[in-house]
Amino acid sequence: MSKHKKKTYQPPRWADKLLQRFCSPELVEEILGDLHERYALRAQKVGEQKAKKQYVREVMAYIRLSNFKLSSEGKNIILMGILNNYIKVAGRNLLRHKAFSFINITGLSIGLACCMLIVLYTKDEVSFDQFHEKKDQIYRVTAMMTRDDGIKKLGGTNQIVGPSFAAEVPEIASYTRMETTTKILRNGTDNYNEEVLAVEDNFFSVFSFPLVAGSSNQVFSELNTMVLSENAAKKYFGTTDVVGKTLDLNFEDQFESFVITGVAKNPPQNSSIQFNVLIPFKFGRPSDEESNWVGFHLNTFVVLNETASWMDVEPKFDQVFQSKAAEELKLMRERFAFIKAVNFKLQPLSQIHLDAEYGALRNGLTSGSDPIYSYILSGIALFILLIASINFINLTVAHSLRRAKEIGIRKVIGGQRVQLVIQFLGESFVLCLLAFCAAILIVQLVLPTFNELANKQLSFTYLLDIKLISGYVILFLATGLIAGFYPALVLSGFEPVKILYNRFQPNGKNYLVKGLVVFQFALATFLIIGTVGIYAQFNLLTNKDLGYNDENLAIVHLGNGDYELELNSMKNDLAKDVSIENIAVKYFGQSGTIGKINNNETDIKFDISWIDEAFLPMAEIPLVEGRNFSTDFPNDKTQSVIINETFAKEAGWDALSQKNPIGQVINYRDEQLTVVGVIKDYHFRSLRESIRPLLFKNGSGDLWIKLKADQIPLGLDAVQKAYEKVFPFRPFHYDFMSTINERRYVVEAKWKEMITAGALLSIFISSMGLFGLAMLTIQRRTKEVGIRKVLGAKVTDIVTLISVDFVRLVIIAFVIAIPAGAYAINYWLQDFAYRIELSWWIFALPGFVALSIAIITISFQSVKAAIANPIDSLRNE
Amino acid sequence: MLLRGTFSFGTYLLYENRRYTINLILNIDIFLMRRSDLGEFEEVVLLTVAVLSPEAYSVAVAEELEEQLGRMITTGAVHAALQRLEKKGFLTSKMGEATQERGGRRKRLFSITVAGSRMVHEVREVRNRLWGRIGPDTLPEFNMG
Repeated sequence: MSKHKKKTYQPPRWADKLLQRFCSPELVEEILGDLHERYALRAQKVGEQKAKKQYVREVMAYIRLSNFKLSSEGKNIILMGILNNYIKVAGRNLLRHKAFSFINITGLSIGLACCMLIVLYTKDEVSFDQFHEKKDQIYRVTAMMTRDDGIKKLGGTNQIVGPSFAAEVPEIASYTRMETTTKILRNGTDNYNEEVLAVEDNFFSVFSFPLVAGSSNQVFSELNTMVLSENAAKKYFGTTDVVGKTLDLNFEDQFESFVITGVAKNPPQNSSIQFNVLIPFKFGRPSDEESNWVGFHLNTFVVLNETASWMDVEPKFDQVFQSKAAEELKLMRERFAFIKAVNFKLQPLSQIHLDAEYGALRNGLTSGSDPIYSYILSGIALFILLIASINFINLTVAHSLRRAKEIGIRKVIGGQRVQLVIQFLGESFVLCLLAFCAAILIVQLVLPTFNELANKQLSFTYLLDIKLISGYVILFLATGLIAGFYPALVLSGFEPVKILYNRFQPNGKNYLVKGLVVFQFALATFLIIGTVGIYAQFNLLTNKDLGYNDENLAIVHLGNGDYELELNSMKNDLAKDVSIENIAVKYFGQSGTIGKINNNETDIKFDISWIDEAFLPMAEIPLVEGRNFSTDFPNDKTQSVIINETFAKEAGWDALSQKNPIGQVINYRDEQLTVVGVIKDYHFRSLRESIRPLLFKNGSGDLWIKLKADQIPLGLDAVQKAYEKVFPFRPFHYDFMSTINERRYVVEAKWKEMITAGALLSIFISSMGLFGLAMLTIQRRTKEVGIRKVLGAKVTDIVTLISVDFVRLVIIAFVIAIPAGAYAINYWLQDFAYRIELSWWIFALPGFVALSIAIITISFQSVKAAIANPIDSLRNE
Repeated sequence: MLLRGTFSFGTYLLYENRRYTINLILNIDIFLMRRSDLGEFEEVVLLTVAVLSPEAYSVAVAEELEEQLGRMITTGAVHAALQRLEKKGFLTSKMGEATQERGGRRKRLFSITVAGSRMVHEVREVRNRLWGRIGPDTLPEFNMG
């Protein structure tokens, strides 16, 4: 050390700061000293430039665990001791206050379970069609029809669309079309109705459906070939080893034999394209060219080049369509003036599932799903989790009196606020962890029910997914934080002197707890209002008088075609049967069309259907004017029609214009039809729509049978026998009109179930929280109650005294929930042409329910407190 | 009630801490006993401390080693070895005087303990025994330097 010069060298300062910050304090002095001295030595020897470079290495060499602040042993021991203590205290608290632990864990686990289910649900929703290798290149060609009553989007296209676009638009690499038809499938002597999907040869190279047997580009090389799904193979042959076997399909009353060339894996449940039996598209379509563009009966998919953008392709469609279909467009404008324009668009494959807008014509695609369900379900699940978290917050804060002494002592012996925050947050995490485990169990248990409700086949194995697991961990952490943060902050803020010195009243008024209770009950009441509203509307939908009698009315579907002879034969057979009240013929549905009235001056849009003379009396639809069809008038078959009141009104044939509807002439497809009768309006469509003009022609259709109420099975047997006599090879298929009418409201029924479940859970968890709060209040006021009783208060006085605070909160919540509920119900009801009036009881009933549940909950506690012997509460101090 | 609660809680906390301290110290001892051997770098550091004694501290040791071994030796590596050797009981240390180059900071001076002395002697014994047993002409010739 004697050889150093007087010049001083100053090493870079960053190292000093770094080391001072992270090094344990007892080492800082020697380490920094070493570094400075070494730097000075180096600078003398090799110059400052090089010394600076080496200095970095010197500093790095000191970055060792043993030099860090944390690792100093004394601190470790204290930390571990504190941690150990936290866990113990948390465990004791959980065990000692079983009621609170139970309330908290039950609530949180229900909330978490709901959220887990929703995460599962939404994951499934967004995962639809993601498994196709070319998913980003596959698009469906859709049609957008601009009509004078708005825009109608169609998922279907005609046969000509795919090849024409593929030929003209260079970005289209290939196209594939598909169409479903219900066919009669014959396996040996057994007949089945089967949905058969006709697909193009390249089906398996466009979509990623793996084959377990057969090669993907060869299966459809012959005309009479067939590919089965594994399920279908098992259904018909009991094995998947079926290549080379044959099945017959019925085409226009002729059975054609198909050789099975391949077996495909069952389409995954999150696939929009579902199939059992595939046949080649070219079968039955020898000349591919069908020249009409405006028709929407099959699905066309195109595969774009990897570099192409669908936004660029769409405008080209318009050009091609305008040039190729000019003549047809002209014709269409003349004939259907209400159609203003038709445009072809593209829809990405991955969007098909969540786009419910595109019509009912699915062609091998499962019905889409409205994303609104995801939103509503997520909303309800979050509500429930929020309510449960509020319980936790409220109970912990209200419970803090009991923990006050512990907090005080922790602070007195040197506990810092941060430590207390960590402790209480930790406790909320412990509780959340328990709730989380319970939630997993709950999910396991209710998954089957949930699947039914949500129309899914979700399974718990879905959970084994990194994204989902991390989602759940986030959910868990978020819940722990939300529930634990506020209590931790409040509890850690207590002043130890106050707590330990005398009786301590933590924040006397506690607006936050009250506010949260109001919020909870407002949410719960809101959901109850929703439930009552939906029940009322649903009741209206299912019980409203439809204007005809659908009871015991069975329909035997005959399919397309004219079956005059067969119908007559069946009618004859069944006429004598005692279990059958009446037989009629009516085309099953009705189709929208257009005609001209008032000397071809005005257009009128209406629905058309075909009936025989027996239908109106059988369905008990009364005639307002004129007469029914009759065999006495042979002209009825060709020239007469019956209309409904709305038709007459729309056409302007009423008392006002002094035109009698009877005898008016309607020009429909160049036929002159005379009105012979007017029927009273009846609801032939769902109650979402108002009644439209309806026109009946006298004609053939499906078989409608009115059965005697007490002999339904017998009657159906007889019908089946008659049916099998005329259609020996066809499976017998029937429906009851009442079930069809109910099926119209499946969506509403689902809403009803969802909201009911949400309302039940939320009111249940809210009242559990209220129960806990009441319990705490009473414990705090035990002495007060005792003194009041000694001074002569009656049981009812005391019950009122305790209940009134809570009841007030519930009433405030109710007042808040009314406008929100009214808005929501009103919004929902906009979809219905026929809807309930928002009368006072829709709001009064939920209020009453919420209030009485609250009062009953509190009474458990308050009555117990009020009838207790005051000696017990006053004896000990 | 209050007093009893306080008391029991307080004692509980103290008791818990003490028990932990005892446990941990025991554990560390067991830990150290098992690792009482001497690494190669530790051995040269220990010997250098003996050479430089009583003026042995990290920078001096590092400088000396850099000269002897002919490669860069950081003070940090030496410092860590010294810490380890002290933990193993082969060295003791005390704070020395402050110098100007150190920015007025004191240095930590190391000296060898009896255990350390025994250790270096043992190591030397082993080496000597081994050297003595190497037969003549067993080691191939090479040019020193």
